[in-house]
Amino acid sequence: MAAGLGFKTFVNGDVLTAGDTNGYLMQGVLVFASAAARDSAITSPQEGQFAYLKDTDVTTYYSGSAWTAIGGASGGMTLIQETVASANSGIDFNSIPGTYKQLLLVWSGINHSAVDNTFVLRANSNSSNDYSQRFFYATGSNTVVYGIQDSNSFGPATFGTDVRDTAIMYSSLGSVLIDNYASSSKYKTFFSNYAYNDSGTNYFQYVLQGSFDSQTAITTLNIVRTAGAGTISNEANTSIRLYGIA
Amino acid sequence: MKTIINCETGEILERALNAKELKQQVADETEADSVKAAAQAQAEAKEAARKVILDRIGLTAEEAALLLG
Repeated sequence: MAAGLGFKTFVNGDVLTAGDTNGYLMQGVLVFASAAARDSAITSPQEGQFAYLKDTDVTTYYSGSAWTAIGGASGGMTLIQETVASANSGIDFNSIPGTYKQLLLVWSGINHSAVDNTFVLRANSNSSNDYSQRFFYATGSNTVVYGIQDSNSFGPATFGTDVRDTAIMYSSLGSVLIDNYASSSKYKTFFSNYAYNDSGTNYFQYVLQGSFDSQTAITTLNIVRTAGAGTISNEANTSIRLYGIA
Repeated sequence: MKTIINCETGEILERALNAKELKQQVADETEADSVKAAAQAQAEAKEAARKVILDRIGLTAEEAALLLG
């Protein structure tokens, strides 16, 4: 891409040269409906090229290797997707942009359609014991248990087991923060806290820290049923939200 | 059925589990059953051991609880 020449006011009779076109006119911000529309239109992006995405209200620039959201240096949180579970046996958030530093998944009001169901959170459909973690959890009997384990998900029963009480405070709610998720060379540290009430009136409150021991960049988060044959749904006025933190 | 949300385009797709996902689901359920059975066996073994001790000292569970309470 040609170097920018700054700003010029053209007047009647001026000859528009190739140099003017490359130096002035090609330096603007291009506007697209979405990242997909941008990628479809610009198949060979040039370093320093700008694009504004209308669906997320984000301005991106091409660094020479990837489109990056402006604002990364100054921080900020962007809602990537929000969904309301409705009798789902599983939910995938895929094609997660790699333009943020951290991912934050937040949910509340999750209930199960039947007993003996367990729903967990995984990344990249990875079901190996690559989620090293240590945690505290407390139950309804006020017993606090410390655990450390290599698990196959972000925390045991991330979205609960036997969550059948429709009251919001008894449903599954919580959050998972994943750092450095877009790295293709480092493991990903994560922090989570979540709570739910099972059908046996036991209350579970988890606080955990861990490492997702995979060098692969996370592009998909999977809400997966690991036990039972039921589904999950959000109570009224609740949702599951995925944020990117710059 | 699972729901797939494309975070770049916002497109939402509903589809049945594919063969790989079905295989994983069966593996997850088998593991869950195994963990549940192990917990159940552990609880039963603990209860049996407790009963042996209570029988040996000639107390009921309620009497033992009263003493320890």
